[in-house]
Amino acid sequence: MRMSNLFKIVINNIKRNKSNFFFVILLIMLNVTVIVGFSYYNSLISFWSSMTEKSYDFNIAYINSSKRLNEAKENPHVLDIFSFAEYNEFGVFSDLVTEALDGSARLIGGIPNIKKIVSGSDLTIGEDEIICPNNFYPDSNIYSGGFDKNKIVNLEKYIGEKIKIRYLDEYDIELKLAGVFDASSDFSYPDACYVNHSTLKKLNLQYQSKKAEKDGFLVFLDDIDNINDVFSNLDESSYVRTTQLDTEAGNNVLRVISIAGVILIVIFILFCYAISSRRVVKEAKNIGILKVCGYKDTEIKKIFYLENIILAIISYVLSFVISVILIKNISALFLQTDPILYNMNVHISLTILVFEILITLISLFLSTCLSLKTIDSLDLGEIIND
Amino acid sequence: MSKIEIRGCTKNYVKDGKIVKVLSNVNYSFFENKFYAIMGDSGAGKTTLINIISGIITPDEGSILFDNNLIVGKNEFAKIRNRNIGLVYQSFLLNHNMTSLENVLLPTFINKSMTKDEAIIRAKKNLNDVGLNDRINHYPRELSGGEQQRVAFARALINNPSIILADEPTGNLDEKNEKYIFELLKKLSSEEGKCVIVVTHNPKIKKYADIVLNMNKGELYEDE
Repeated sequence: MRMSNLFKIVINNIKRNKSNFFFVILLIMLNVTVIVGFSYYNSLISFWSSMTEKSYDFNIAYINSSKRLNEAKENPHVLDIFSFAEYNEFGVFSDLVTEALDGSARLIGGIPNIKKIVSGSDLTIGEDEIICPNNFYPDSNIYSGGFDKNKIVNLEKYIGEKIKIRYLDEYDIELKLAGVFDASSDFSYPDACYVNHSTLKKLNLQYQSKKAEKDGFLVFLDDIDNINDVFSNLDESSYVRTTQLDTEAGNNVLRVISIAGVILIVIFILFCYAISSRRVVKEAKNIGILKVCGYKDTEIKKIFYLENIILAIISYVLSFVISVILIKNISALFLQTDPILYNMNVHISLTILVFEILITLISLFLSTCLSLKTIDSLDLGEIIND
Repeated sequence: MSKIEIRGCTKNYVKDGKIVKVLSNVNYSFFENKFYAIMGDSGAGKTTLINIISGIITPDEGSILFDNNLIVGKNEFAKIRNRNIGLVYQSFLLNHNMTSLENVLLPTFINKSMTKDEAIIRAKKNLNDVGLNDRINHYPRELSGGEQQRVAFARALINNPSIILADEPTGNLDEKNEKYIFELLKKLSSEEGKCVIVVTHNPKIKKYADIVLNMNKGELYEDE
């Protein structure tokens, strides 16, 4: 059969068959769910990964026995060692007080290049400097549902100036604001600022209560995964990462999204099979007419396959447009109250689009293939004489 | 040489656990230039016979020969149906999503020996020959029963088949259209040399048919 004739029959069927409309809607719903779901999934993974890669704190471990100190000294993987008094493992909360601002900030020990500076300059080693996020939010209610995007503070005008920080609720310190960094490129808390590690160490030695001393020490490694190269026979109860994000909750979310994705695809195949089978039964008379005219089963199946492919392409294009609009609005509606995620860039990557085409086509092919088996078993005599 | 030959065809159906014999060792040869009428009571097996000849259903035993060549397999029958057999049914069997012209063109879509333009010219000619020149772009729901049957005939003749098989072609038609159809069938056999086989209850066909066959209890024999 010539392609032009095949297209003619298929386009005719698509225009006249009302059930195709519901098929397209179903496909759009699935495609949009997959595109939007995977876009968020990918963006979240990338967001978290960037944080773990760049975060200084993830490479710090607390070793609970001072007797192992010698193993750490001179080891090439160890960048620095601190006593407990030199490092407050819970970070430092202080009031950031200037003429116009009054709020809290977290001070984390950092190193140059840990963040992407968008204005001003990066930390200079040895200098008492601070870098802050470009979405700085000085409010301790941030984690109890009090986040309001409109209260974000742009600190760019203070770059180069010394700003006062109330440290440990007692001491006023001054640090020069070196620059502000892009908080949207990784999982950055909007109240978390970075100071030179040496500055933090100095502050803690100067002001940290001596009662805070306990056995053990902290090591800063080039990569936390090298910890077993530094300490032999180290079991997991002997050390603690100083900063633990709640990755377990994040992993659970990602697991749920993955399982939901698989279930969705299976449901889609079943739905397509059901709809295709129903269409074959509904089209039995027209299939009978084609067979009477001398069409072979393979030619009739080609018509159904092509019809489904064209419907899939139409729904795919519409899905893409709807997904772009939805992603923008979902982020605007649901993420704006989260102090970290609101800043996350969600984008539809080419990989997702290609993956989605493949999933759709494979699912469509499978379900169409299965449902078209009924063509072989149609009782033509009964259909024609009905 | 026969145009189409039935050899030892038997067909049974199972109903309520019992075997119902529809065709019983039927043997017959049909020739060109002849108009055959197959008559018989309801349930005699007339429609089953037509469906077996056209390959719509397969017999439990026996075979069909076309121009002395044995036809084997669904695909071969499909090809014969497309090129050599024109089928017409009581229910017209038109695609309601297509216009008259598109319905007539349907068999040509898989006939690579005809170009697209040739097919359209022939389809329009066929519709004109059956008096439907002004109904080319109408859908079946916009046509009367007689007009729909004429479209079915125009489609059946599009690939210039040598055999016409018609199952109760006038069953749903009035007297005027019935006469038209019988005259058309007569013309196809006597003037165009086709082998025309018609299954019907209508006794008026005897006026047109060259040979009248009877089906009774699964057996086929010529009416004296």
